[in-house]
Amino acid sequence: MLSPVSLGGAKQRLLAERIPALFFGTAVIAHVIAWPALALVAHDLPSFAGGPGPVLAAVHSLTLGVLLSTAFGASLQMLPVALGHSAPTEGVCLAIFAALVTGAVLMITGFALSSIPLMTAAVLPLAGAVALYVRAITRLVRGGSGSLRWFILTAILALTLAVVAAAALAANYSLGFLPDHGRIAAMHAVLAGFGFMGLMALGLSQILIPMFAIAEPPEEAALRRAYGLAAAALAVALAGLGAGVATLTAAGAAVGMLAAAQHVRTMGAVVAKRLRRRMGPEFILIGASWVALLLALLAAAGGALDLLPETGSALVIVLVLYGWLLSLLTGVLQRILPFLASMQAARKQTRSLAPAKLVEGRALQVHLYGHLSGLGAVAAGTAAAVPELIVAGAAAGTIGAIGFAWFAVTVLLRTRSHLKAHALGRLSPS
Amino acid sequence: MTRGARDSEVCPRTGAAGEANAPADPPFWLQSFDVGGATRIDVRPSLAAGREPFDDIMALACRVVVGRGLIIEAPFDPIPLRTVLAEQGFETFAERIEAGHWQVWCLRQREPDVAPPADFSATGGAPVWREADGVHIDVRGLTAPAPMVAIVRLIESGKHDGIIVAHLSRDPVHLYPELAERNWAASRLPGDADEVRLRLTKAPA
Repeated sequence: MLSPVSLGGAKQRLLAERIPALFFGTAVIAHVIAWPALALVAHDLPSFAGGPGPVLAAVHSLTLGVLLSTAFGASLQMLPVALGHSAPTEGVCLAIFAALVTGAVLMITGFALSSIPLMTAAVLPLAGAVALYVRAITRLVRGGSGSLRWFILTAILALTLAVVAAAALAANYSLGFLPDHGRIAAMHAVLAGFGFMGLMALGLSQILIPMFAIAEPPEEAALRRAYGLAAAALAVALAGLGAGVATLTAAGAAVGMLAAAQHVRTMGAVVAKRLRRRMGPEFILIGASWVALLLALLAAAGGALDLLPETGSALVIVLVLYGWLLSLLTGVLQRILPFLASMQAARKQTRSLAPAKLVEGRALQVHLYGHLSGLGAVAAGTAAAVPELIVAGAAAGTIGAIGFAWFAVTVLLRTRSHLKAHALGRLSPS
Repeated sequence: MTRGARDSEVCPRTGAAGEANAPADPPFWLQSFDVGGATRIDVRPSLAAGREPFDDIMALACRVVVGRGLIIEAPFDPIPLRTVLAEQGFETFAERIEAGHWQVWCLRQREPDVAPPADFSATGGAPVWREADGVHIDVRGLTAPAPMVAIVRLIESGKHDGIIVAHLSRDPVHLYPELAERNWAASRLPGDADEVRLRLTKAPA
């Protein structure tokens, strides 16, 4: 039996157990909704070019339900651990969670029903959630140094601007004051997808990838190059969209490809020098996410220059959201969930709990094959405008999402079983 | 040319880890320190670029003969490094020049007490040494997740007898799941005020 250790100051860096469980649990549930939602909009998806309706609702069930929930939960937990600072209070985290879920439900329902009152009502809780989150994260990275700080600060600036754009878009349905609704919508998508999620992913990867692979952290100079390129790409793309200059937007995507290539090269070098011999399916997903990112940026540049068919916009959305971000986040969650459970067990000073003992390998295989085949079919179906292929892909993705939920529930149940056994052990006479 | 005393924040170190790190008067040997004949290294650019300069310092230190000196420019007082240098026969003295700039004066007084570690890169540049209670590793000053990586690397190297004493600047929450995976246990030891010291032991199979 392994002896316990007092975590002392680490307790302040670990959120209360239920906080990550709420954020990640929401992501797991929304994940099971987001894939079948694609089947419901299979006929409209290939020609989607923006505007409220079922397609936007399906897209936001993924962005708000899965991606934002995961990004909020992961950053609120992992940044205090990595930076050695106290985690935000439980009350703040609960307020962020409640506002996020309320706003997301109202917004998705509003999009699905094309209801302007619901969309407008969603803005306040979503803006509140983001304001609280930005305040908490700013406090965490304040006083820090290095590229991580710049990745995170730029990411939350992009999130703030994305929410401002979203509020303007919602108000525009009633007031009609925006000169070009579509252009602001495109800027919102770039700010949220590449600005917040992208920079947050690049920033947290410099901690998470070495942690998962057990490898030396990347060199700061390489990280700074990636940050400089990514920030420049974002600024150039936004300038192109704002000014309506397609070549500038395409140039932003091209610089973004350089940033992505730098990031992939840096992380590839980290993984190549790893101590962990056996890599799990999470690294296949993370590798797939890098491929999807490069393809998405290539497609975005082609789309900006009118080189893609009518289905180009929807293909970029599929590649960015389902290909890059969803593959990356589900890969990361496969490591984080058992890792956090093990840390929580150490926090309660139980017997040590090896993360591998919490993982149901068959569930991860179901998720891996379901996700990758679903992604391939949905992307191909969208590009070629074949709804039947999108439906088949959505079905495969749903099976993968159910596999992922099976994995997450298993981690939860096995952790509870471990804690219960420990509690009983304490009560029994020695 | 010798080095005279200056009025600034200073920290002497002549023994093992655990000494008080309060400002103190310059030691007597500093008055006759041969600045011109000393080897110099400025590790601030390496650290700013994210590179670990420990190997470079030890490579230079190994070549310093008894009676000669080594001057290290660093962005902080490198306490773990000074502990290792003390074992290599150096008296050391740290002086804060300004914010983010420390000068460490090192004078080799004798031949090393212990052989220098053969391969610092095996632990990512973290100092490793052997004492009566086991193999020690000092990962203070490394940023996450480098402490976890250095300790796991030492565990997997097999260069220990199943007992490792780890000196950390904070609780290594990343480490505990990896210890559990390898069937190792951790227990807290008394340490310095700003230190978390853990005794890591391999559990019976």
